[in-house]
Amino acid sequence: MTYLTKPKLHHPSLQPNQLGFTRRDYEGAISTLCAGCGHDSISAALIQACYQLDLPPHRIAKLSGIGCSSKTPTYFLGASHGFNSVHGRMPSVLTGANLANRDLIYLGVSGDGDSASIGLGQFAHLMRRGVNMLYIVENNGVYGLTKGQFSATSDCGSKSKKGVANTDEAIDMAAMALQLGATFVARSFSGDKTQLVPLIEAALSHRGTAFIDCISPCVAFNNHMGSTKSFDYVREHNEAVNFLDVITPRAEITTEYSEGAVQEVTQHDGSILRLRKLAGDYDVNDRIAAMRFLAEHAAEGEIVTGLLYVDPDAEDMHLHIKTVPTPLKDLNETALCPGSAALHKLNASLR
Amino acid sequence: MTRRFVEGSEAIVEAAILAGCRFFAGYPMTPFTEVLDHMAEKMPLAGGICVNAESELEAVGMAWGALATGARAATGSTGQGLSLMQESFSEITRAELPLVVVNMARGQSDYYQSTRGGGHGDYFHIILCPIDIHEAVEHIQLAFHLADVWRNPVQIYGDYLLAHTAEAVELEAIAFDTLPAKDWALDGSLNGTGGSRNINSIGMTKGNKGIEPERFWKRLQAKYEAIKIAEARHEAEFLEDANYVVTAFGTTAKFVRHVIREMRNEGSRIGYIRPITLWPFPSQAFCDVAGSVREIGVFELNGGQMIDDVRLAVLGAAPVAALGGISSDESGFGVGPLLNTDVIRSILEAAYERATGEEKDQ
Ligand SMILES: Cc1ncc(C[n+]2csc(CCOP(=O)(O)OP(=O)(O)O)c2C)c(N)n1
Ligand code: SF4
Ligand SMILES: [Mg+2]
Repeated sequence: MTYLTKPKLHHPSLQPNQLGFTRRDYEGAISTLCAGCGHDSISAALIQACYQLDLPPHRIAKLSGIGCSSKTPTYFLGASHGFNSVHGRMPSVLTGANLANRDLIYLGVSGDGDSASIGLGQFAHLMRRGVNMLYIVENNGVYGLTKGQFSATSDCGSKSKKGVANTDEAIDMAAMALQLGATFVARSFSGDKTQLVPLIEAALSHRGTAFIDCISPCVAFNNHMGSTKSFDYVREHNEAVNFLDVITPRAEITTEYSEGAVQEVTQHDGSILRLRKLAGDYDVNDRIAAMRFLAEHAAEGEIVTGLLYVDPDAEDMHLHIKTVPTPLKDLNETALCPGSAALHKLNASLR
Repeated sequence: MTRRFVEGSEAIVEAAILAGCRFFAGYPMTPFTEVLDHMAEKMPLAGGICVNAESELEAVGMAWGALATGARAATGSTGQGLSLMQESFSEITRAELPLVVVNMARGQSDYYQSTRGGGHGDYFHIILCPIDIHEAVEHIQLAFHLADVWRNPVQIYGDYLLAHTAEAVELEAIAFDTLPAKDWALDGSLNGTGGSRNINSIGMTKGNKGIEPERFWKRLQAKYEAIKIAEARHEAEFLEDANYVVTAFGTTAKFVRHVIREMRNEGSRIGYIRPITLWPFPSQAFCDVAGSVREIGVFELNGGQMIDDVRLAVLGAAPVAALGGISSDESGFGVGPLLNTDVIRSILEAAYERATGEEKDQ
């Protein structure tokens, strides 16, 4: 493969964030995905969100499985740590890393095949555990990397490029995440950056499992007439429930809101999620209502997007299982090898 | 007979249909994907079933279930996918079910994975390794037959070249000997015995209390001993007066065989052996030449795997040298720079001269 290296020079007009980094410092290698692939827009949104949140790139760990979507961590946050695991196993690898080192900001990038087909079991268990992370599925309804077979999120009746209709029911990953206990659940569309960027910001500042199902059309294999994951189809059937502004603890509140229902959610880090409601009195803190809302609208053929649910009092896995506060790698030899007397004492405490 | 110019994956699928396979389940993975794609297209037209599974785990499980009911069923994948299937492979083998596995490997790195069983337990699969599409068409049909004869899984070890290149081949059904009835299958009948059946991997039989693990294990081992004697296959050329023998397997052997034929024409006393079955390994063929050659060169494109079997076959009776090596393209599918007759020729000539002290006659 030939890589184009980006010039190191920064344009003087690039605005630095509070850490002194410009947007460029959050970019990665030049993408080798198909031109127009939805996944590239998600990478751009991730770059924008991390830049705006002033996240130190080296504190972010990007993990992924296998697929075009799982390749994307190469194309953003070049200064962050990366780990490509195997197909469908990112959740367990990320859970292990998070348990051993809670100090990093965890970002899991996956595809609908990686998470809903081969990785469904691991996806489900990660959601249940409350792993503190942003889990983003770049959902195109097909296995892009292996040339367009239907994945488990492909809608029943959706047609392949060759015109064959899918006969299996689709898995709604956002609905699953809600049912399984994720404490932040959203759906978005790679073609809608104004919606996606704040969702990513909110998810990254959430403590607990934040899940974003991001519809991301595959221009090579699933962007034709008859597909329900094409740019045209998603634009026509997109039903946004709210519009989100994220106000970080440091930011001044400048935006003026006109009349209309606004719901505010303060997260544990002090960030305020300000939601302009678009769909009636949709309550973003009501999990059961969110599940019903999704199901009803899916039955009408609508793709509900926006912040679907957030639990502002979410707790994460470390709290649940009472882990040591220090990352394991920071425990020194005295702490790790205290001798046999300590082992005897430990065993005695079990008697 | 009519010849058609077909891609390897498509020929494999048609051969499976000719062999009576009517069930296939798989999950895409390069370079196996096209086998699945052709199965998905052709199997339903032949009245069969092809499932686009959730993963290789589901694929092998579905094939397991289909086999248990007595259907001719197959699955397939490549490297990682087959790694995932190993738990089921072990159990299917111990349950003595006739699974056929189409392995389109990423080059030659998975010789061990195929020939050492791969999962838990003490078992082997018969591994047929075609040199070209023509032979693959024969091997697929043979695989279904042998799987039924021995009630043991049979794998076809192919690769990117086999799956993705086209050749003119004849797709004709092969007639094999009649097989015994599948009186073990869960077919809903009592088969005149009055007894229902239970398929399991621990040697348990219905109506008998408890299990006898040792007896069961020994019975399976006796089967493997019999397979070793009956099924080891190889291809050989120019062995009578050879003082140097080169061995290679799969599509790589086609390149090696070509070079050896050329060197022979030019006067070198070089010979060629190709294991057709990677398991059982055709050890006897190597034993037979060990006493009369200066060296056996093993040309395989990996870190050295089949060379172990050659060494075990000759047990020191002839020196064994590794001539191939690791060679890959950028994508890792195994078509690397060593897969080139000019390169192979210089390697074989150097080895030949070194071991025999003979330069080829000009
Ligand atoms: C065990 C295993 N099986 C199959 C594959 C081949 N494979 C790689 S990615 C992929 C599907 C990717 O689909 P998705 O996660 O939706 O990603 P996309 O390419 O659509 O972004 C498959 C089947 C693999 N790498 N490993
Ligand atoms: S095949 Fe599809 S998913 Fe993969 S890079 Fe191309 S457009 Fe994107
Ligand atoms: Mg996909």
